[in-house]
Amino acid sequence: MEKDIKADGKKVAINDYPEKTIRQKIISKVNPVKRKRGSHKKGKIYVGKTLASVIKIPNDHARIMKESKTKYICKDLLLEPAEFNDLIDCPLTGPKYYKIIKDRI
Amino acid sequence: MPKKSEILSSDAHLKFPRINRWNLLNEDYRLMLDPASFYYGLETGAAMMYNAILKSSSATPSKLPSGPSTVDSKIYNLSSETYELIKPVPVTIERHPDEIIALMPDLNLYGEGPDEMDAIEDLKAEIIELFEDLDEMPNSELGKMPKIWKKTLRLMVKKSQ
Repeated sequence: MEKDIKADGKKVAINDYPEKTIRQKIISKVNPVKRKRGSHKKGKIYVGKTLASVIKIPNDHARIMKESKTKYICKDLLLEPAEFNDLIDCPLTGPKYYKIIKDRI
Repeated sequence: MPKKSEILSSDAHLKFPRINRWNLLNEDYRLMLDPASFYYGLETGAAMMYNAILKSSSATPSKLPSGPSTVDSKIYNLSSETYELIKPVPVTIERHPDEIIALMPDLNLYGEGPDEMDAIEDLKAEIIELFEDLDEMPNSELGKMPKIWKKTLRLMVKKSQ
């Protein structure tokens, strides 16, 4: 939580990322289980046998993802904005991600 | 950089069209320099009074909202033969120049598309998929958030008879 508060007391915002970058990072690091039927836009995130969350996998567009959508994705990933930025910018690896969300399900 | 007296002149907007005068000046002068303002060019107490009113309502010209336009709406069905809505569901439509987003904060779901109809249809598909995914799973296998979603969905969606 502390990581989400800057020195000036303001909350960290989610950075601007292209939709396809977010898509790639989610698929490569979180590797959600895709639905067997219906659209393949949804993915399930499991921790052990427990369904931690269901996430909409972004499209493969080059455009910057709108803030309202990234907020929802961030929340679906059970991450704080700073952690989400880390996930996309790379410091947060897949195993570290699952370690973080283990206590949040 | 022009001097402040030059920026404050009544034809400043013609001389320095590319200067962001709003950030250089105090709020009283912003009103007088804005050609769209009723108080354009006036140096009377009226502009000061108008500014005081704006200040009290926190709607100063520099704080006008920017970003997408949003509209609150409702969906009345799920465009499905298998599922239907128990009651109309509130959604927020966000209009961006390049896409429309339909948001449902209760379930953390969004639909997207080039127009409102596509965005809403996408959102409806999302609701159905989430309902199908969660309805078939026992609560013991659901985390905190999916459990809340399932509860919300059961108040919202039912199978058609």
